[in-house]
Amino acid sequence: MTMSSNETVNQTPDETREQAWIRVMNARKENRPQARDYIAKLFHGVFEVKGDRCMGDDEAIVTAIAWFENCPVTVIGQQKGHTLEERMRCNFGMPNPEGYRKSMRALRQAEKFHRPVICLVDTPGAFCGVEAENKGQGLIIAEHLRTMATLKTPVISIIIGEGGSGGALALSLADRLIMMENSYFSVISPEGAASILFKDSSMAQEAAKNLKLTATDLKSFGVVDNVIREPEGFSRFNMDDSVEDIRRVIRAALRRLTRIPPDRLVENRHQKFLNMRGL
Amino acid sequence: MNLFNEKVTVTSEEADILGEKPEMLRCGGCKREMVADIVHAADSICPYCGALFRQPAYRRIETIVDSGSFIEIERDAESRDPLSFPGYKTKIESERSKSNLQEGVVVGKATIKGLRTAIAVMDSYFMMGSMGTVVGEKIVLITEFATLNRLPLIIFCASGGARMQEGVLSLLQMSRTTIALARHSEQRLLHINVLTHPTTGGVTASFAMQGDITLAEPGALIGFAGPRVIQQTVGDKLPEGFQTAEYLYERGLIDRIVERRDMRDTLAALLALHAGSAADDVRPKTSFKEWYDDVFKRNS
Amino acid sequence: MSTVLVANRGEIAVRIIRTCRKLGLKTVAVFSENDEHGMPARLADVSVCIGPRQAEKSYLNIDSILAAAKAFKADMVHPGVGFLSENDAFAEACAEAGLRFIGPDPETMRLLGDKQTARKTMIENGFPVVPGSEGTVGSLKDALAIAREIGFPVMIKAAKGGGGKGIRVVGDAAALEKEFALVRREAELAFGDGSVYLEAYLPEARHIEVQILADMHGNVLHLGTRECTLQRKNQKLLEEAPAANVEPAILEAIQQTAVDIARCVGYKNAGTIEFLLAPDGRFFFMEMNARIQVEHPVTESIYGLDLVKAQIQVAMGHHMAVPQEQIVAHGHAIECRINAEDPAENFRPSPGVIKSMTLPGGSGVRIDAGYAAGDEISPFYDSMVLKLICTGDDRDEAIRLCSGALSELSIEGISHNAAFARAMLADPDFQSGRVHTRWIEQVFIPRYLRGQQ
Repeated sequence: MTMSSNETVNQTPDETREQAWIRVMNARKENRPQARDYIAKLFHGVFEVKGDRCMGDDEAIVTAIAWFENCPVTVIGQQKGHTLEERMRCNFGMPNPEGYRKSMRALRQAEKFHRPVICLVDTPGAFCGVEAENKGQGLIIAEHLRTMATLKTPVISIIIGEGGSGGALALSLADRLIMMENSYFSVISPEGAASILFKDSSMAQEAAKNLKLTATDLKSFGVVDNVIREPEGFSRFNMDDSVEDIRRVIRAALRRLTRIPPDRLVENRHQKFLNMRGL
Repeated sequence: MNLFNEKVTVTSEEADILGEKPEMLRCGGCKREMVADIVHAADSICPYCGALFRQPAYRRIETIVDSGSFIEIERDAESRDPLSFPGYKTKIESERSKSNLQEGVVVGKATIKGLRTAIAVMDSYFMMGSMGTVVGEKIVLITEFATLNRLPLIIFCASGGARMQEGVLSLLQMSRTTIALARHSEQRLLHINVLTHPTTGGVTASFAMQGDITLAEPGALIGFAGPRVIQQTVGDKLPEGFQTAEYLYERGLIDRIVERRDMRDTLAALLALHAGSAADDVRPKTSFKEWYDDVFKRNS
Repeated sequence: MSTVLVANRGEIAVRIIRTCRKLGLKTVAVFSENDEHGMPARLADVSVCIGPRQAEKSYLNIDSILAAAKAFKADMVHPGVGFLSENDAFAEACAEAGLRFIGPDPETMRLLGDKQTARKTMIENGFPVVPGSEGTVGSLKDALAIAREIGFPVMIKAAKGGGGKGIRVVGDAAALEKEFALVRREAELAFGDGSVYLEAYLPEARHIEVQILADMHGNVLHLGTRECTLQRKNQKLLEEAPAANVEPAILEAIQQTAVDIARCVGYKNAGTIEFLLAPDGRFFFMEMNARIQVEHPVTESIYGLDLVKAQIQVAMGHHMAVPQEQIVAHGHAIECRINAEDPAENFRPSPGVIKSMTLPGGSGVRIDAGYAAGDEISPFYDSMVLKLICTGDDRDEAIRLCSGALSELSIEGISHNAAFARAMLADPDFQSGRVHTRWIEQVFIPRYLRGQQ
């Protein structure tokens, strides 16, 4: 199947509804490319920066300085883990406050050096443990949003897998928002919605239909700028075509965004979100 | 001796009137049941034990601002049901019929002891205070108004989280409110948050934690994830007092816990302390109507 | 009209609930957190807590009381005595909420509630008033001038005072200079208004009051006189009906003046006009209380009627049909207020739990109690436990009956003034009517304490 990027996925609304659960399952597939896979393919000369300069290093979030073609960029990715060992280390992609704090440090560094930021969003949600609450999980996400809101350097966010609620939104306040075809972005997990609607979390498939969480849905809302097609058999071992599409989209976006003076850039970003009034 | 012509008569229907029980609330502190209207007439405080009940927005405003000074905007804003979520429209109708609340937040401008301020008060009685597009938009609007007219902004936060029925668009309100408040802050204007019971989810992870000053009511449940979810995640019992205002205060997340009877004075004192920081004469004042029409480019 | 909300506590609340029950009306009792287990809550059809024990948060909390009325669909409100019974803002709020307030109009309450405007109105209409200042007195200089004119001793009275509070007697200019500023400050603290006026102090005056009842259709009746001369610190201890040892012509004049005054101010419902009767037979308007009084049972006893029932009927718009001539009193009634206090310890309040009570009874003996065995007399409210009303064919009979009843009365768990009251009844001054408003303090208490030793 030949792919062309930036296509809206042509489906009827009913098809989109029925496919919602399939998208969710695909977004969660084990062999799906994760942040580190994309980093290896999209960027070169990658230098990973670690630690939040406060209390630790959260492996659920990867921060790095790298080259995108001939442009230095900051990369921030949410990593879930391919092996069991990695998944444990990365807390299954559920960041703690340390992770978001590390990410904020990366953002400020990017701003200082006028490096564009590319976020790779893939999380079931921010971690909801006792310590995470104690350390101010809500506060840190709020601060992360605030930092992104006024960041004087271009920000491109790509949802590569699971866009789990606030934990994912924290990295999505961007000048461009891109979604992979089989990713989802939802205010609540289908399981969570099912337990509220049907008092039965196994009805997640049914709940997913109503949540309008697919890339197609978000494109129709005008929330997402580009959707990247995924070929048949898309996996971490078969991702080159999509990577090429992503590369093209990033290139075009960077070309435009880096030309805009920082104040104007921030103003545009503000208007982009503020103008989503009535919806 | 009967001094009167008439006799006192009571019809049987009239006599049955007492059978209908009024709306009752149970106090979380002393566990007694009491009449909702009476509790709310007394600042929503339990007359027996003094524990705080969740206070309805309009009553909160009455107790905080100078009498008659509150001017509301966007009262009738209604969700367009962007997801066509089954049962959503009906739910909104039924919530609106429960009281005079139209949505989960009331916004407008007022004075407190003569000091002008913009004010937003969330109400957790309306769909658990969940934030959807209307709540988000009202907060954005009042923040923009405050920015343009160089007013401080006080937000009383109360929310069960993002509104499920509006999907990712509810989530988006976290970004939108963040941006509006960042622009307000840029103008060196004061933003005070008062965290009331309960403040959770997307609201905590956005504007509720972005204030210059963060106050909280005693005993309020404040957190990101809900206690049940956390309990399921960790499996153990939660720590004593977990996610209460006092607990957060100990962990450096809150400036001060304020009793309901002291709230008005505290806010007035803070407004006065910051009154000099925004030069009032720099920008022209606008009326709600002018500014509003401009925002929406509507003709009168 | 079927449900009455009783906006009060203690004995008067019980009183009102009992009459409502008699009339087939439903009752809603409101109580503060302190009175959760009190008699009114037990007797009413429904009861609801309206606030913590501080009166301004509960019994004076108009919002809470109206919310309770709304919640339980009350259509009438009886304010009792004290608390909100003379609060015109409350009467107005009830009207706005569509509730029938059992009492006069807010305007009348406003006029009579401000003792100064009441006085002025009486002067303007030619009714006799106690000589005194025209209006409030602004400065010590003015006070001294007025005092010199009307003659010492004078009373400094708070304009917004009531119930015997905010009054000071000064015997000469030096005392006036000393007390003037003090009374103003006390009034400011107690009533929120420091305005004061001056009145001549009439030594050896007697306190004679007239019970008024007026319907909404212009009919005004008087229900005779009561004598309330026996007071301690301006609080009544013992009342009688009718006033005894007064020339009938004077009594008639007082009664007629009362009716004229009630008509003049357009009074509706039950009220009481208080007069001072000087030894020389002159009488003066003192104040009008726009509510039912604590001592109303003595009037009820000699006329054989239920005043609370009459109040409710007036509020319902019923028409009074009996002409004044047909209202005839029989016999003589005496009421003793039994308070939880210790006369031997300077009447120190004696709050506590009533362990047991033995109450007298029989023909002509009535007990209006607000508490039963096991109830607590709280230190936060007034200390009255019960009222004992005894009625005989004549005054001597009533005195003997009352004395006997007091000897039968026993209350365990608190100190009370029953023995003191009994001693008063036995006193020759009392029996012959040689008493005045300071008699208890100046004459009887010293005599009583000497007798105790």
